[in-house]
Amino acid sequence: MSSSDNQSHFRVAVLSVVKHAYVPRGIFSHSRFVPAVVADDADQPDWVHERNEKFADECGVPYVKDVEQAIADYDVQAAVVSSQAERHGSLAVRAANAGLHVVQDKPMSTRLSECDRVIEAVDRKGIKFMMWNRNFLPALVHTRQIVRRGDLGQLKALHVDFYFAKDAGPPIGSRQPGDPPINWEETLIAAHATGADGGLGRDPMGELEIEGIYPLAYIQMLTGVQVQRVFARTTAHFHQLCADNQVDDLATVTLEMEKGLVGSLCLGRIGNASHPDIGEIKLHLLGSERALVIAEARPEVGVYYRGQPDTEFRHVRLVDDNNWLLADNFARAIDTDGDTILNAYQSRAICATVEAAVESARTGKPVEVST
Amino acid sequence: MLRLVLVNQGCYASSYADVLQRVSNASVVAVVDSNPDAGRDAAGLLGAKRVATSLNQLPQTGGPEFDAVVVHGSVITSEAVDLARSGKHFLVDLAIAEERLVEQLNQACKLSEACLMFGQRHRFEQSLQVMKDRLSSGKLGAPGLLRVHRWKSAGDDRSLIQQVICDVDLANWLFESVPDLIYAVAGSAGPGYVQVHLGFPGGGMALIDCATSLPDGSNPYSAVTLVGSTGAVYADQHRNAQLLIGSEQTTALSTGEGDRDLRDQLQEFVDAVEQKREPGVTGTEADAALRVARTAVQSLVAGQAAHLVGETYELV
Repeated sequence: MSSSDNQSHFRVAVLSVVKHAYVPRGIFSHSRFVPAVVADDADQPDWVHERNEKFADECGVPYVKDVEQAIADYDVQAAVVSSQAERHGSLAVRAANAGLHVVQDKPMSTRLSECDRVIEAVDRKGIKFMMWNRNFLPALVHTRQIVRRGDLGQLKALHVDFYFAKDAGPPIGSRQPGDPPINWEETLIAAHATGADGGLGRDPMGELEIEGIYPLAYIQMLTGVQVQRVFARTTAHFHQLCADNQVDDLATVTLEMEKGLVGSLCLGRIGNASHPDIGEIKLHLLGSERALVIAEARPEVGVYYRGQPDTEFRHVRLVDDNNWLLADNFARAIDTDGDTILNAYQSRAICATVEAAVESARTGKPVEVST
Repeated sequence: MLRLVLVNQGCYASSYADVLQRVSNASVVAVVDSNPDAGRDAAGLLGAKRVATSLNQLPQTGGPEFDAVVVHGSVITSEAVDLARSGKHFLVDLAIAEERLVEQLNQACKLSEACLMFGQRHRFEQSLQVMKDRLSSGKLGAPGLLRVHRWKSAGDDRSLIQQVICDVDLANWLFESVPDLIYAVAGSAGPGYVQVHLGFPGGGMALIDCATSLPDGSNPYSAVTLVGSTGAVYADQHRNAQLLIGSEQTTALSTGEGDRDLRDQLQEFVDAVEQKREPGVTGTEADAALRVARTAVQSLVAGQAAHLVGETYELV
């Protein structure tokens, strides 16, 4: 029985929706979740209010420039946070303090101390927290079935490739003498038009911080163990934006996990030219009995035609119910007082892994992951 | 016509018998195998007239003279070095190369001006030739990341160094450099598993995982991805899987690249000897790969990363 069979609805406050509108849209794809209000702080810049207002219009709900007032006035039970990255933790804590269940866009926060504040509020208020993720893509659901059925025997090693084929402005080396460095926030605000604004915020973030949650969430789901130690290499290899802001767009991470499990992560924003679709995303699992190679994009259908724009994916993903399944998982967790697919503790562990990887890349040494 | 002696070919004898038909200017005149029966079988397959159980025995076997020695299995260093000093050319499998053999063969071949090539079939796999070609022609931009998965079935009793050395050489070849950073782990997946993380000057990186823990009888699997600043190559066996559909299950079958790499490697050696030029994989490159592979094992044991300081790797 899916949680949609339960007729009770959750009224949802969208607390800032300045980058990934697919997060609240994904929640609202499920009949249990109903938009009630969009809200943000009054002191936010105009572009933030414009985006919030536009989304409120799309949902047919009011936009309120006062988060606490909106929560108090609109009888809401859940919140979706998709603000600038550095505000994620603060908005999630405010929602949790008000007793709202929280769905949050990636990353959990740009600082581990903020992750800890979220965990404290979630625990104290007994609410449910879910980080948005891709764990319910068909290939991942299939992979989880295979692993849980024991087809691989005991899992020994797990590797994820997460090459994301999107550009992020001019290529590296394109800055002319005398040109100023590219401004991170201005560029990411402008990138909203193409949806390449995952790193939106005041503080520059590397791809490990922006996209690392997805492959690390796969590993978390499939292994159920913590990463204990990492060794990483990062560089700005593709985009002038990343080079100018001293953040990575290409990274490799060796993962040493509990129970002797080892793994690795290769990740990058490799540019549109390097893949015909969203990117090469694969999992390699090595077990004591069998091994498994999974393409995250499958099932898919190939579509090619004369005059096809370069920007159109040649392969279209099929039966992608990730959004609905995430929302269903969230509803079920609320109904049953169970766990979400990616809770606050697991999300914090991912942030800690990323932080350790960034430190390892800086020092050239393996780094223990903060618990 | 280059007259070859094949040494300890083992299971490769039939492959050589097949590829030799398509290699120009080479023939096998003798087979050396520590197992006399295996040697006779191989000689029969290859049409070789002379059979011996060691390189030292060759002079006593009579028959035609030879020009070059192709070594797959283990070989006694002193015997090989004596022949190299006398001007015999050598093609030695990189996977069996150990420090003393590499060093002494290098010296001997330099003195006698004989050709010394190390066999490293990955460089001659057509998929990786395409990768190298597109990289060299500038289509991929600067190499940024090399990812290698190399899985084989259990029963491969090669040492950790032997497991990783060919892929380490592959990384050095593609980045045209040696790594300045090395870290390796195995976890509970070892023995029979090693994961090597390399950093190259300028920010390049490679992650190589080699397993010899697939169930007995499994087909080997490999996937090699190179991401450059303007393009990428995915040489991935997963892309070349076919389906065998049966009543109980559907099985993936791989249409592989066959032994073409072996043929192209041997042809490169023959051509290098004939043209009196440096071969595809030199002694210097073998020595570099060996040093990196050896350091990876030290990193694995120590749980520390190794940094290149001057000419040597230091654990930090």
